Amino acid sequence: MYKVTNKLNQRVKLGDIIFSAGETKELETKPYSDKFIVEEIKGKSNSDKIVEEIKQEKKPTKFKENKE
Amino acid sequence: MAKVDSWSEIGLVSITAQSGSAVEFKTLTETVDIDIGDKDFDTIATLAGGRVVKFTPEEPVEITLEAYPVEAGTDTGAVGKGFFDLLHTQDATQGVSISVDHTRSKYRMSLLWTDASVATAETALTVSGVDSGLRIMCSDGFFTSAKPSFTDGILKWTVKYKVPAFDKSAAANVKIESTDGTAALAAPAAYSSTAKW
Repeated sequence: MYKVTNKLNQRVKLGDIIFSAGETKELETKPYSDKFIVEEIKGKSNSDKIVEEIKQEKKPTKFKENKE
Repeated sequence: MAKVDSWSEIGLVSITAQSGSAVEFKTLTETVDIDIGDKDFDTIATLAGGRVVKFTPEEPVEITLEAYPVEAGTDTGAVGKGFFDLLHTQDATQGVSISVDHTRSKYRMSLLWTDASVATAETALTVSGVDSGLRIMCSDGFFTSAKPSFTDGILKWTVKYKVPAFDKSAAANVKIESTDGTAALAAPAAYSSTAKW
Protein backbone atom coordinates (compact mmCIF):
# COMPACT_ATOMS: atom_id res chain seq x y z
CA MET A 1 0.00 0.00 0.00
CA TYR A 2 1.13 3.53 -0.69
CA LYS A 3 0.26 6.84 0.93
CA VAL A 4 -0.11 9.20 -2.02
CA THR A 5 -0.31 12.97 -1.51
CA ASN A 6 -1.06 15.50 -4.21
CA LYS A 7 1.71 18.05 -3.75
CA LEU A 8 0.19 20.67 -6.03
CA ASN A 9 -2.16 23.41 -4.89
CA GLN A 10 -4.71 22.33 -7.48
CA ARG A 11 -6.86 19.36 -8.51
CA VAL A 12 -4.96 16.48 -10.12
CA LYS A 13 -6.34 13.37 -11.78
CA LEU A 14 -4.65 9.99 -11.40
CA GLY A 15 -6.49 7.79 -13.84
CA ASP A 16 -10.08 7.81 -12.55
CA ILE A 17 -9.10 9.04 -9.08
CA ILE A 18 -9.30 12.77 -8.46
CA PHE A 19 -7.11 14.38 -5.80
CA SER A 20 -8.04 17.82 -4.56
CA ALA A 21 -5.21 20.22 -3.62
CA GLY A 22 -2.92 18.57 -1.07
CA GLU A 23 -5.21 15.57 -0.59
CA THR A 24 -3.79 12.22 0.59
CA LYS A 25 -5.19 8.82 -0.38
CA GLU A 26 -4.03 5.25 0.21
CA LEU A 27 -3.52 3.37 -3.03
CA GLU A 28 -2.46 -0.16 -3.83
CA THR A 29 -0.44 0.81 -6.88
CA LYS A 30 2.46 3.23 -6.86
CA PRO A 31 1.95 6.30 -9.08
CA TYR A 32 4.94 7.35 -11.15
CA SER A 33 4.42 11.09 -11.38
CA ASP A 34 6.27 14.01 -9.84
CA LYS A 35 2.94 15.62 -8.99
CA PHE A 36 2.65 13.33 -5.95
CA ILE A 37 4.57 12.54 -2.79
CA VAL A 38 4.55 8.78 -2.39
CA GLU A 39 5.28 6.97 0.88
CA GLU A 40 5.22 3.20 1.16
CA ILE A 41 3.12 1.97 4.06
CA LYS A 42 5.13 -0.60 5.96
CA GLY A 43 3.62 -4.04 6.30
CA LYS A 44 1.97 -6.35 3.89
CA SER A 45 0.50 -4.98 0.76
CA ASN A 46 -2.97 -6.07 -0.33
CA SER A 47 -1.50 -8.11 -3.13
CA ASP A 48 0.75 -9.98 -0.63
CA LYS A 49 -2.30 -10.90 1.41
CA ILE A 50 -4.14 -12.15 -1.65
CA VAL A 51 -1.17 -14.35 -2.67
CA GLU A 52 -1.05 -15.81 0.84
CA GLU A 53 -4.76 -16.56 0.83
CA ILE A 54 -4.47 -18.32 -2.53
CA LYS A 55 -1.53 -20.43 -1.23
CA GLN A 56 -3.55 -21.48 1.79
CA GLU A 57 -6.50 -22.47 -0.34
CA LYS A 58 -4.31 -24.60 -2.61
CA LYS A 59 -2.62 -26.70 0.09
CA PRO A 60 -2.39 -30.29 -1.16
CA THR A 61 -4.80 -32.64 0.54
CA LYS A 62 -3.13 -35.56 2.28
CA PHE A 63 -4.65 -38.90 1.42
CA LYS A 64 -4.25 -41.85 3.75
CA GLU A 65 -2.62 -44.83 2.13
CA ASN A 66 -4.94 -47.65 1.44
CA LYS A 67 -3.45 -50.57 3.30
CA GLU A 68 -5.68 -53.19 1.78
CA MET B 1 27.69 46.80 -20.02
CA ALA B 2 26.04 43.60 -20.99
CA LYS B 3 28.11 41.01 -22.80
CA VAL B 4 25.59 40.49 -25.57
CA ASP B 5 24.31 42.86 -28.25
CA SER B 6 20.85 41.37 -28.31
CA TRP B 7 18.81 38.42 -27.17
CA SER B 8 17.99 36.38 -30.22
CA GLU B 9 17.05 32.95 -31.50
CA ILE B 10 16.87 31.03 -28.25
CA GLY B 11 15.14 31.51 -24.92
CA LEU B 12 13.48 29.58 -22.13
CA VAL B 13 9.83 29.32 -21.07
CA SER B 14 9.03 27.75 -17.72
CA ILE B 15 5.58 27.17 -16.29
CA THR B 16 5.17 26.28 -12.62
CA ALA B 17 1.95 25.20 -10.91
CA GLN B 18 1.49 26.52 -7.38
CA SER B 19 3.40 24.14 -5.03
CA GLY B 20 4.88 22.37 -8.07
CA SER B 21 8.24 22.58 -9.79
CA ALA B 22 9.22 24.32 -13.03
CA VAL B 23 8.25 22.61 -16.27
CA GLU B 24 10.20 23.76 -19.33
CA PHE B 25 8.29 24.40 -22.57
CA LYS B 26 11.08 25.77 -24.80
CA THR B 27 11.21 22.55 -26.79
CA LEU B 28 7.62 22.97 -27.96
CA THR B 29 7.44 26.74 -28.31
CA GLU B 30 8.10 28.77 -31.45
CA THR B 31 7.00 32.27 -30.47
CA VAL B 32 6.38 34.23 -27.28
CA ASP B 33 4.50 37.52 -27.25
CA ILE B 34 4.40 39.51 -24.02
CA ASP B 35 1.69 42.15 -23.85
CA ILE B 36 2.62 44.14 -20.76
CA GLY B 37 -0.44 45.97 -19.51
CA ASP B 38 -0.67 49.69 -20.11
CA LYS B 39 -0.30 52.08 -17.21
CA ASP B 40 -2.36 54.70 -18.94
CA PHE B 41 -4.07 57.92 -17.95
CA ASP B 42 -6.82 60.19 -19.21
CA THR B 43 -6.79 63.97 -19.15
CA ILE B 44 -9.58 66.23 -18.06
CA ALA B 45 -9.56 69.65 -19.63
CA THR B 46 -10.24 72.46 -17.20
CA LEU B 47 -11.81 75.82 -18.05
CA ALA B 48 -8.45 77.56 -17.68
CA GLY B 49 -7.11 75.43 -20.53
CA GLY B 50 -5.13 73.19 -18.21
CA ARG B 51 -5.25 69.40 -17.91
CA VAL B 52 -5.94 67.28 -14.86
CA VAL B 53 -4.50 63.77 -15.09
CA LYS B 54 -6.81 60.89 -14.20
CA PHE B 55 -4.76 57.73 -13.85
CA THR B 56 -6.08 54.42 -15.19
CA PRO B 57 -5.17 51.36 -13.07
CA GLU B 58 -2.43 49.20 -14.64
CA GLU B 59 -3.85 46.63 -17.06
CA PRO B 60 -3.21 42.86 -16.82
CA VAL B 61 -0.26 41.24 -18.61
CA GLU B 62 -1.04 38.69 -21.31
CA ILE B 63 1.55 36.26 -22.67
CA THR B 64 0.78 34.35 -25.87
CA LEU B 65 2.72 31.26 -26.92
CA GLU B 66 2.63 29.52 -30.28
CA ALA B 67 3.67 25.94 -29.73
CA TYR B 68 3.71 22.49 -31.29
CA PRO B 69 2.91 19.89 -28.64
CA VAL B 70 1.95 16.35 -29.60
CA GLU B 71 0.19 15.48 -26.35
CA ALA B 72 -2.87 16.80 -24.51
CA GLY B 73 -1.01 17.61 -21.30
CA THR B 74 2.03 16.88 -19.16
CA ASP B 75 1.53 13.72 -17.08
CA THR B 76 4.88 13.97 -15.30
CA GLY B 77 8.39 15.34 -15.61
CA ALA B 78 10.21 18.65 -15.98
CA VAL B 79 9.62 18.91 -19.73
CA GLY B 80 6.26 20.13 -20.96
CA LYS B 81 4.25 17.88 -23.25
CA GLY B 82 0.98 19.72 -23.79
CA PHE B 83 -1.12 22.70 -22.78
CA PHE B 84 -4.78 21.69 -22.37
CA ASP B 85 -4.25 20.60 -18.74
CA LEU B 86 -3.10 24.11 -17.83
CA LEU B 87 -6.69 25.32 -18.30
CA HIS B 88 -8.34 22.39 -16.56
CA THR B 89 -7.37 19.49 -14.27
CA GLN B 90 -3.94 17.92 -14.74
CA ASP B 91 -3.86 14.19 -15.44
CA ALA B 92 -0.84 12.37 -13.96
CA THR B 93 -1.21 9.12 -15.90
CA GLN B 94 -1.02 7.92 -19.48
CA GLY B 95 -3.28 7.92 -21.44
CA VAL B 96 -3.80 11.51 -20.59
CA SER B 97 -7.47 12.51 -20.56
CA ILE B 98 -8.46 16.09 -19.85
CA SER B 99 -12.09 17.13 -19.73
CA VAL B 100 -13.23 20.71 -19.53
CA ASP B 101 -14.16 21.68 -15.98
CA HIS B 102 -14.58 24.68 -13.73
CA THR B 103 -11.12 24.42 -12.15
CA ARG B 104 -9.02 27.59 -12.23
CA SER B 105 -5.44 26.99 -11.15
CA LYS B 106 -2.73 29.55 -10.48
CA TYR B 107 0.52 29.32 -12.41
CA ARG B 108 3.82 31.15 -12.51
CA MET B 109 5.38 31.78 -15.91
CA SER B 110 9.05 32.67 -16.33
CA LEU B 111 10.75 33.72 -19.54
CA LEU B 112 14.55 33.87 -19.66
CA TRP B 113 17.04 34.98 -22.25
CA THR B 114 20.61 34.19 -21.24
CA ASP B 115 24.04 33.28 -22.55
CA ALA B 116 24.31 30.63 -19.85
CA SER B 117 23.43 27.02 -20.46
CA VAL B 118 20.58 26.42 -18.04
CA ALA B 119 17.76 23.90 -17.88
CA THR B 120 14.86 26.13 -16.92
CA ALA B 121 13.96 29.80 -16.87
CA GLU B 122 13.92 29.62 -13.07
CA THR B 123 17.61 28.77 -12.71
CA ALA B 124 20.03 31.15 -10.94
CA LEU B 125 22.59 32.99 -13.04
CA THR B 126 25.88 33.17 -11.19
CA VAL B 127 28.71 35.68 -11.11
CA SER B 128 31.28 32.88 -11.12
CA GLY B 129 29.78 31.67 -14.38
CA VAL B 130 29.73 35.29 -15.63
CA ASP B 131 26.26 34.71 -16.94
CA SER B 132 24.17 37.59 -18.19
CA GLY B 133 20.46 37.37 -18.72
CA LEU B 134 17.03 38.96 -18.74
CA ARG B 135 14.08 37.34 -16.99
CA ILE B 136 10.38 38.20 -17.06
CA MET B 137 8.37 36.62 -14.26
CA CYS B 138 4.61 36.57 -13.73
CA SER B 139 3.02 34.92 -10.73
CA ASP B 140 -0.55 34.02 -9.70
CA GLY B 141 -1.76 34.10 -13.29
CA PHE B 142 -4.23 31.88 -15.11
CA PHE B 143 -4.28 30.22 -18.51
CA THR B 144 -7.24 31.65 -20.34
CA SER B 145 -6.97 30.10 -23.79
CA ALA B 146 -5.49 27.06 -25.57
CA LYS B 147 -6.58 26.82 -29.18
CA PRO B 148 -5.32 24.18 -31.61
CA SER B 149 -5.27 24.91 -35.34
CA PHE B 150 -4.28 22.88 -38.38
CA THR B 151 -4.58 25.57 -41.04
CA ASP B 152 -0.89 25.41 -42.02
CA GLY B 153 -0.78 21.63 -42.23
CA ILE B 154 0.81 21.31 -38.81
CA LEU B 155 -0.98 21.17 -35.48
CA LYS B 156 -0.20 24.42 -33.72
CA TRP B 157 -1.52 25.54 -30.33
CA THR B 158 -1.98 29.19 -29.46
CA VAL B 159 -1.91 29.48 -25.69
CA LYS B 160 -2.71 32.56 -23.62
CA TYR B 161 -1.69 33.23 -20.04
CA LYS B 162 -3.09 36.25 -18.24
CA VAL B 163 -2.05 37.78 -14.96
CA PRO B 164 -3.35 40.84 -13.09
CA ALA B 165 -0.66 43.42 -12.31
CA PHE B 166 -1.32 43.07 -8.58
CA ASP B 167 -3.00 40.58 -6.25
CA LYS B 168 -5.84 41.47 -3.90
CA SER B 169 -3.34 42.70 -1.30
CA ALA B 170 -1.71 45.01 -3.88
CA ALA B 171 1.48 42.89 -4.04
CA ALA B 172 3.13 42.87 -7.47
CA ASN B 173 2.46 39.87 -9.72
CA VAL B 174 4.90 40.84 -12.44
CA LYS B 175 8.61 41.61 -12.42
CA ILE B 176 11.40 41.92 -14.94
CA GLU B 177 14.99 41.41 -13.81
CA SER B 178 18.39 41.25 -15.47
CA THR B 179 22.11 40.97 -14.87
CA ASP B 180 24.99 42.12 -17.05
CA GLY B 181 27.21 39.36 -15.68
CA THR B 182 28.77 41.33 -12.85
CA ALA B 183 26.19 40.22 -10.30
CA ALA B 184 24.22 37.06 -9.71
CA LEU B 185 20.56 36.73 -10.58
CA ALA B 186 19.04 34.55 -7.90
CA ALA B 187 16.68 31.73 -8.70
CA PRO B 188 13.11 32.41 -7.55
CA ALA B 189 11.89 30.71 -4.40
CA ALA B 190 9.64 27.68 -4.72
CA TYR B 191 6.21 28.88 -5.85
CA SER B 192 3.55 28.53 -3.16
CA SER B 193 0.42 30.30 -1.97
CA THR B 194 2.65 32.52 0.20
CA ALA B 195 5.72 32.93 -2.06
CA LYS B 196 5.35 34.38 -5.55
CA TRP B 197 9.13 34.19 -6.25
